[in-house]
Amino acid sequence: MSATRPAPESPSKAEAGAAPGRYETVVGLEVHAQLKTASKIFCCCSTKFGARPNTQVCPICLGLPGVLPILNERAVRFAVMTGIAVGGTIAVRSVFARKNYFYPDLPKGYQISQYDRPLCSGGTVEIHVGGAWKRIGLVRIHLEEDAGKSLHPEGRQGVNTTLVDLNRSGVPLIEIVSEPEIRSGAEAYDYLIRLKQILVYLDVCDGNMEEGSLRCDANVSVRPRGQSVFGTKTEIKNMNSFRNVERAIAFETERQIRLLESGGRVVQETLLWNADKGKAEPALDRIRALRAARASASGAGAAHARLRHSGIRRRGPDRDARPGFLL
Amino acid sequence: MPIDAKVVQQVAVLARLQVEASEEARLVKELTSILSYVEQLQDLDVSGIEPTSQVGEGTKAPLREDEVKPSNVRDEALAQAPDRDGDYFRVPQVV
Amino acid sequence: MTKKPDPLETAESIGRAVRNRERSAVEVARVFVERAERSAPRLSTYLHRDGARTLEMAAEVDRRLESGEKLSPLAGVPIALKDNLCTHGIPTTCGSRILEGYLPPYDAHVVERLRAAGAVFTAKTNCDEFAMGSSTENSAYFPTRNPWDLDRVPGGSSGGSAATVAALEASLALGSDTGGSVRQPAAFCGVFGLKPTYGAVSRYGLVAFASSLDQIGPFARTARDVALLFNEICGRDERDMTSRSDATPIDLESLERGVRGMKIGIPRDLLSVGVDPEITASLDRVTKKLSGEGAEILDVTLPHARYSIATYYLIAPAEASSNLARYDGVRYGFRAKSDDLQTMYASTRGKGFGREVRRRILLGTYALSAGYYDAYYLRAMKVRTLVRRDFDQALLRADAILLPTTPTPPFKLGEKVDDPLAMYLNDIFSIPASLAGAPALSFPSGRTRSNLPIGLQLVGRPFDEGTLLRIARTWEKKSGDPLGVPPIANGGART
Repeated sequence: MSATRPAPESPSKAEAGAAPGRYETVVGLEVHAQLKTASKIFCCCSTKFGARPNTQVCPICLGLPGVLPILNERAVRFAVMTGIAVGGTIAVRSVFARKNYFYPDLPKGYQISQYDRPLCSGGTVEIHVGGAWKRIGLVRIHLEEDAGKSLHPEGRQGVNTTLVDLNRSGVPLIEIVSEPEIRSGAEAYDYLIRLKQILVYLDVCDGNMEEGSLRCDANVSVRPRGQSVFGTKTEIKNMNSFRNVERAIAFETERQIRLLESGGRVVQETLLWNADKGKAEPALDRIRALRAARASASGAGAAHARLRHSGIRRRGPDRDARPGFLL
Repeated sequence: MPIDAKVVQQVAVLARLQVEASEEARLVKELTSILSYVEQLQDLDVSGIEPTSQVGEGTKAPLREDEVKPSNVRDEALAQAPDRDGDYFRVPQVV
Repeated sequence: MTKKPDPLETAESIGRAVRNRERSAVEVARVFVERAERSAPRLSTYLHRDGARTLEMAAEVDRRLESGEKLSPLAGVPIALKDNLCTHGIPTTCGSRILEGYLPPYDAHVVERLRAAGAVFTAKTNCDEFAMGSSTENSAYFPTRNPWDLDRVPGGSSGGSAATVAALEASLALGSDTGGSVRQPAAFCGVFGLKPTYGAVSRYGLVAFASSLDQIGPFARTARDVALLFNEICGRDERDMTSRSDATPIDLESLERGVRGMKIGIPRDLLSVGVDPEITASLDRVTKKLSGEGAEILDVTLPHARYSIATYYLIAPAEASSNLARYDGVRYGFRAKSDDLQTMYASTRGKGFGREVRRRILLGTYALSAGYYDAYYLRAMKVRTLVRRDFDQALLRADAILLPTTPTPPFKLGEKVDDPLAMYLNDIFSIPASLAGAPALSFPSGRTRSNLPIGLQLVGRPFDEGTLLRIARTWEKKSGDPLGVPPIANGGART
């Protein structure tokens, strides 16, 4: 996957992945970036990739009874720097909240994230596609903790198990949510390139999708050109490179248009990108659906508890965030 | 919404808490009683009132330095696992 | 080291004698261990006790003193710990089956502090499961009995800690208080119990029930002893972001200064919800005495306090439903066997949690679920603000607020278990201070005609535990009532 700055696109290439003719593609991207802190967001365990399973763990990230989170100053600083770099508004008071759901690699049964008052609101990422610059607006950037890893090996005698490694549990993430202003796979590709450049330049993230330090989910819908009301969107997950994001958006755009043209309706659902087949498939396999769904557990149908905690106060011109505290 | 056995079971699923059919009637009665009692909060005018999620907001405690401090609980913690496979915690597969 | 320790002595005097080498810590510990061996089987105060380990800890204290180490005023003092406080390598069950056999791989902050101070641990005491209850009848193991009447409850959720101090199985104890769980059992067992200001004591290692309300609190037989224990556990801990450096040790001699010139407020509007006449009589007696000692008694109002039960029983279960989500059978504790994950979760939690815990998890999950969040949880958080403001207002005019700890004297075992709401209504006087995060102290104020303990409560300004203890100390000195020892502590027959 290329990390270099791409040459300005020719007009025909710019249309690649854009909806032909009557329809317009509407895409919003949710990017999760692992922050390059030495220690995890709420405890002092190392964030180093590739360690032997369950060796970078402590009572806090194991979710043992009686533990409390201790917020990492550098994680906050990296998030604030990113927010400033995209020209967003840093919240004077920012609040952590819990996203409650059950999954084996989510040790507390909730993820500490941000809901009502994210660290950063607004901001833009400038992209250059089709020979023109365009601003993609951001909704927000917020801090949250990563979950551990679940492995699903093939079992003996049909008894299947899941193995859980909590080394990754508690690694700091920022979630960067764009407005639905991206209009093609090519624009999405450029957006990701530019966003990665910002993160790498600030040295807050490696920006490596293959290694998982950068992850992207795409929300895709189509609508007739000129219509302001959004069409029904689907969510695509499991894209492991910028090119695959571009391809997946192109595929899904085409699929939705064909569906609508033949009199069908787009169903809101989560799709998993299958890079080998070049298709986005409904997560019919319940295992994969759960795995995919659990990362987006704020969707409809899953009632969620959001408990508000904490505050982060920004003080003075040096822009160091000072905390309230965290439950 | 009035609580009935169906609602109790729906909430039980969200909470991953098994509720036997034999318990449904009792839980409906108890939860209804408690929720009826807390209805009295609707009598109060809370317009313009900020919610308190945490007393003592406004402390300026310093945040933690980004320092790695290895923990040594790993073996003790894994030893408590109801099921394990070497370095991993093991659970029935997500189905 | 010739005199056999008088078990009625205070923690303060035990500590002094041990540090002065008048007695050995082992000698002291032995008395309490033997006493507990006699009374605990009938009171059922503890879930885990290891006499040999207690004596070992005491021997270690003696060794440290022998080597010339300067130890705290608590050195050699036998202290019991509620079973929701994590103790490294020592079972910590929170009164639940879901943590049966669980051994924490770390000590709670307060446990670390007490070890360093040279305290000697006697037992992990019984409690309502995950601190949810007002009678200790919700322990998954067995109920604890009130040392003053074995047919009655010791209160809850820290019933084991309160009873163990009342029966002199330990000189001091720690419990936890979320809606009254230190104060109410203190009142029922006739001892002192303090809920510190929220943030005064680190919660690291306290198994969370409701994070915005939980506080660890001391039980003792005298006001000075409360301060002694509080001083060893209070203050900022970097592992608890809510703990505050504003919490500083109390000067014990400041407790002797009397109440002249102090303003004590009585919230008559709240008392109109209904109080047992004997408790009201005790309140009047104490008020008169304090007034006679030079305090000014005034009326204050807490207009929203009557809504505090409803507020609490939305907020606490909501927070609990989240805090207890980690008990899923994956990494520790009980796991129900199953071939599929969702059944494993549901069955583990369904079987591992008792009735009250399951009730509150369901209630809390419901209150937080989509569609109900605003009407229930959010609204409750706003009413909480109103309750806090009431206290702020009242404490502009008064230095402390005086009111009963409980509406009734200790009730009988089994009397309220089948009616959750009736059980919740016990907390009407203790919950308001919890919602406000204010320090609150229950102190023994007398007896009913049937010799059951009565406790009254003082609520104060943030981090002003000293004022509360000073008022209670004044009553203690002037009341003319000795604290008393329940017959069972002397090997006596049940009353």
